[in-house]
Amino acid sequence: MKIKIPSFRSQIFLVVIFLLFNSVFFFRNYFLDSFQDYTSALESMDTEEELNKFYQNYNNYLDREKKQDFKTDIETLLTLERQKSFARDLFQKEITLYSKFIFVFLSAAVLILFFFSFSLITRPLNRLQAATYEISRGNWKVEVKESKFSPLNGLIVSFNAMIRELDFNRKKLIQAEKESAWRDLARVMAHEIKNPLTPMRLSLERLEQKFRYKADDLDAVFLNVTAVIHEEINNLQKFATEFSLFAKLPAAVKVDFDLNPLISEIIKPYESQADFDFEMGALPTLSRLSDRPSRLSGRMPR
Amino acid sequence: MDSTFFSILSKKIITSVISVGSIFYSTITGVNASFSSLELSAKGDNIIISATLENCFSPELDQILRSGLEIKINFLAELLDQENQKIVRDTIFYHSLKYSVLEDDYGVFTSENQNYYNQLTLAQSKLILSKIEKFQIIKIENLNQNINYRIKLTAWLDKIEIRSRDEPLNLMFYWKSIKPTGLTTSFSKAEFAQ
Repeated sequence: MKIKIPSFRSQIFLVVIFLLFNSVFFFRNYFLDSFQDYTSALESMDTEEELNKFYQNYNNYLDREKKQDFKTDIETLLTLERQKSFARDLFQKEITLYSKFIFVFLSAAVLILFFFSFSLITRPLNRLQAATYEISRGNWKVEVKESKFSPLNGLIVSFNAMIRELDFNRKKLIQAEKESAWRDLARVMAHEIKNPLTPMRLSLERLEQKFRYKADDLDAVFLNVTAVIHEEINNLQKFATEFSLFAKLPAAVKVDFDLNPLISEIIKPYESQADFDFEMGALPTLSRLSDRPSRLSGRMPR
Repeated sequence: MDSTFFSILSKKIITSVISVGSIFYSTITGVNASFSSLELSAKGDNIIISATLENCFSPELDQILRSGLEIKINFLAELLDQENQKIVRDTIFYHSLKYSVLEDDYGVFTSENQNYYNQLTLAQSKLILSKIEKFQIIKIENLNQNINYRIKLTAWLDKIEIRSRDEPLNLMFYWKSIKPTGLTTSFSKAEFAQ
């Protein structure tokens, strides 16, 4: 069976009730016991018996007239003693009962006052707890109600100020993150757009050169250059389409890829300008190294 | 605000608390006193009544009887006109008890017949104290021929003054503050007229 632990407020409340009742009980019992000890001590002083002895001892020494007066006086004293004893018993009973009334009254009064002040202190804490819960759920528009009579009102005011400050900083941070993301995006886009432009420009320059010098292989170069331009335009279109769909780069697909044709293709535009010869050995096929040729070609240095 | 103010205030509060509490609880355990054996009869020219007050003593009350103070039980006998709900005649009498601490015996006085009984034990004195014997209510000739009558008996205890206490002790608390009453059956003059 799972035992439910009482809340923090309930625990404090129970502890206070326990301490209050115990302390009042302790003091009440202490005073009642002391009073009982005192009355017991008084009762042990048997005045009645002493008066009886006194009467017996001196009655015979008196003449007839005075005997009656003496008896009346002794009787009065004995009656007074009885009254005292009775009044004492009655008083003890009253004190015992009345102390119960006062105990109940004081306990109730203290508990009511305690509960009132306790609520005054803990209610703002409850509100703060609820507010932090709301914030943890992402609601930054919370504002804890201020209570001028609460001793914790200063805490509420500080909390509200802190939440406003945090929300302001959070918004600034989000704005900065957005700007940074846009900058990154722009950089990537510029890079992605620039990559196909370079081979296109180099191919066109090569074609221009061949055309200017009426080279023999002009037709072949023309076909090669237009093929390169077509492919790069296709790449750009694909990139633009995918970007417009999800504003993201095409998803990478791992495939086996032969680097040789790609490198040969890349070298071609540079061959006419370079003052050295390109020599190509056979490169191995790369196993699941990268994505599509177009993507890979975009990443290769030119 | 000085200490006197708080002293008065606390005294007022405590007194109020005790007063309110006393409505619900008392230091005194009361008994339910009641009349029994109400008997009407004719004695000569008079209608007489006898009755016993039952369950009117408790150990706490016995303690008061032994205090040496005079304890008085008052009785009210009312002759009621049953038809008109009127009191035709009423008489108050009492039984008083006094304990002699020195002699350790009890004396009882019954005012209806002016008898004084002395050197009694507690049991004897309680018996006399609680018993109404042949109390003359009215002469038969004074009754109206056409009216039905009833006799109502009521008893109560007097307050006693105890030294060292500010206020007198109301002994009715020992009867739960209820005056016991007894009512005879209805009777008419014809039943007693010879």
